Amino acid sequence: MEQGKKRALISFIPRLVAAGLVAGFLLLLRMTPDTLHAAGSSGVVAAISLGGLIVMAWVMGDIFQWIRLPRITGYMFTGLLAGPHILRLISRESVATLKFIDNVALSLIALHAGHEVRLELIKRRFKSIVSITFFILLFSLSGVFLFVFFGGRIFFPFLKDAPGRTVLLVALLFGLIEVAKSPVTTIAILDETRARGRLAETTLGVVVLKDVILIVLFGVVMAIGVRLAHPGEVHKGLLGETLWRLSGSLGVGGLVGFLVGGALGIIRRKTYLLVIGLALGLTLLSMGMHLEVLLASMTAGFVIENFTRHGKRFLGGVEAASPLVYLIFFPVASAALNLSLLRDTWFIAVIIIMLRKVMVFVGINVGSRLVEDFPAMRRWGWMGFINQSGVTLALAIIIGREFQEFGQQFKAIALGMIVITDFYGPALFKYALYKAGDIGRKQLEGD
Amino acid sequence: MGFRLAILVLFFLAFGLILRGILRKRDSSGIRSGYLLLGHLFALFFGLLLSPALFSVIDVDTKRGLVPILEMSFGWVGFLFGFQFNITTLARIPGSHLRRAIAESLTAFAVVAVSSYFILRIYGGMLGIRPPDVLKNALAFGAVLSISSPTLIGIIQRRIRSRSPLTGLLTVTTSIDGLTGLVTLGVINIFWHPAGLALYLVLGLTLLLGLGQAFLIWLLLQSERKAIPTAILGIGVLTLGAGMSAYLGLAPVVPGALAGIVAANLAPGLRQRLARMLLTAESGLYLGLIVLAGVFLPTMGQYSAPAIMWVCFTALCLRFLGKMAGGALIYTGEQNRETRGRRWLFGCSLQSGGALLLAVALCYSQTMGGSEASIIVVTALATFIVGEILSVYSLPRLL
Repeated sequence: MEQGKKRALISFIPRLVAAGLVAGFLLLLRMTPDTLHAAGSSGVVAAISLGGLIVMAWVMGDIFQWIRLPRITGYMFTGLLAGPHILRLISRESVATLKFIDNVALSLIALHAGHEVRLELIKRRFKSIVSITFFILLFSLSGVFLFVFFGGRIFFPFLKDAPGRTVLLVALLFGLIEVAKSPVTTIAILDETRARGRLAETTLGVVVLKDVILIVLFGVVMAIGVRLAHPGEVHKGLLGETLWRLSGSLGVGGLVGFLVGGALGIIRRKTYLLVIGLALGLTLLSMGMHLEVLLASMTAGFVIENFTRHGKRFLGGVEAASPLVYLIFFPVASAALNLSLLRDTWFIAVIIIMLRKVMVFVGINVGSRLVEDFPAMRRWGWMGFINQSGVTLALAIIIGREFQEFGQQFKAIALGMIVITDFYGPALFKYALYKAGDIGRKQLEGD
Repeated sequence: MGFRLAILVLFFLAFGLILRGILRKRDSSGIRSGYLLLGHLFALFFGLLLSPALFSVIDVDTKRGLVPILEMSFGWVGFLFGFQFNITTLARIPGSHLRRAIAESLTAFAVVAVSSYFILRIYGGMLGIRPPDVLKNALAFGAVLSISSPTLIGIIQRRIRSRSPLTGLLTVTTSIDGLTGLVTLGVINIFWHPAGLALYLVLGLTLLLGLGQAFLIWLLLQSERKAIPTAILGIGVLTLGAGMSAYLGLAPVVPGALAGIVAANLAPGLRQRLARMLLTAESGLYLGLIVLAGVFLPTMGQYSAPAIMWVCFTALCLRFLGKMAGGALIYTGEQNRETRGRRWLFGCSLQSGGALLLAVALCYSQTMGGSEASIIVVTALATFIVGEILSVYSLPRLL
């Protein structure tokens, strides 16, 4: 081994020891007798979990970086390992309590994502983004829909004796969630690698546009689906609710973006405080007004970058806060995933994942050939559309809640797919960026 | 309701930012100090707006979700406070400064604690404070109300570019005040632990947590050169430590301060990196804790408004008297001709309690619970507001 690497490894040992000690503390916590501690609130236990996750996830991120995988994969691995379903260092209650902070972190990441979508990028890559988005939607949605519709009774035990309209509904919903792709992991990888290039720009543009379309489609499908599932009942306002979620998120996000853009003209230092305050405010507003926090935050970030003069200053604040935000968001989000679901759903999850990959590959190839796009997009672009956490998770939870007869099984399969794709998705995307020339070898190796 | 209040909050934000912008353009130390005060008070009122106890912009579940951030702030404030106690630096402090600072601190503490004791013995029943709890509460008032903050002194001194020799004296004084407050809080924790743990166990756990945090920081950061990982790992350790302290019924700010003291005496390279990390996060943490103090305002439904006002007024008077008495002691040793005749400015300059005062009050409330703890939090908030106003007025005139 080279001298430099040997020295780096030796200097890493104290960190490993520290992470081990922290894991030990968390283990001890589970075994602390009731007499030794005061009546602790779930908030205090969540604080312990958060502190422990930050330390362990950072060290795990170092290890994953050492083996040339993305840091965020290490963060997710930590959350999954330490979560309530494997080592149980973090309890279910802690994960639930940390949900609010997780949402604020999500808002911050979405601000960054929206900020990265520049008007000049859209103008430059408009045809490519629209064409690829359309064909990914078309092929993914229809491919998965047809597979589930015709093969549902064979592959899904809960559909074996289900009526035709239920099979149709499940097929529609699977088709829809297979379209979803997380802008959060996309921006996290682009941030980590500092990727700049056509693949990075196109992937981000497509992901953001798909999310907006997905929210509308989801509302329409849910409105139809609820009527299909419960034909005799009266259902009010689902479509209106969806339209409000979309228009309200865009409107509020835009307004807040303009206000904050103005504030940036006055606040010249420590802009990270303003950014954190903005993320907090957007999260609270979204909760209070039933908006889509991801969309509102992306819109705010987009407006600040493209319609105010202080985009660079805003970016400085976002970048200062980003490392800690990723370290909070990814482990906590992963800790909520139930790995035991894979036991019963892994086979069907793998089939749908493979099918989706093929459909995405076809969609990208058709879409990019139509506009004579660069060859690397056709060859490697599909790798940027693998993992699905974030939006898919949220949609799966809503579906699980709304449809009693199949909701839980549906959610289990969807979460199983998220667990699988979350682990190799970021690494594949990083590799694709390297092959397309958007990052160099050093960035691929994590230097 | 949530929608209306969200709009109200946005309005306040916009108003505050515009006002801040207008004030920034004026080039005078008084206006700049006024702007600073506005920023801190605005942060507190913003937190109060959000609080479930007042306007319920956020609900109880969301407030619980903010507890990890509150614990993070406690750990950080404690660490930041303890970090100033580097042995080499302490050895350079003139003996006269140290003596005067200790005299001021003990005087202020004694005035507040003893007066509180007698007042609570007589009137404590009106507030639901039982006779066995009078001493504990009197010490708590003493701990909270004797704290002064060095942060505001540093901020104002930098803003007005003062080179007054009094800055060092005032900084030492506020450090000793903070130490008095923290030690008293630790003593309360030891003798009145909520789970009734033995004295030696509480002391042992406090030491273990403080040293443990310092050890973790050393393990994680000894070879780290970059600012961001230093800050992130520091935050992780301090949050973990503060959470464990609270879980074990200890006031998180005390082990945090112990960790800071140990860290301040580590290898110079690591110490410098930690100092840079703390300086970078100082203003964010300060504002964050002020906002959270407002958010975590306890419900005071069991007390009438006149009772709360009476308590706050009495506490403010006691603090004012204690600090003026202490300030007079500092002035007695002051030989500088420029400060003659401005004895009262010393006492006023020490009125600001800053984030440490709020942290100690909130820690006490979290650890001890109960209705009397909520009175101490409300008193601390009132003290914070009045103290900031007095200090912002007097510090530019003194320095």
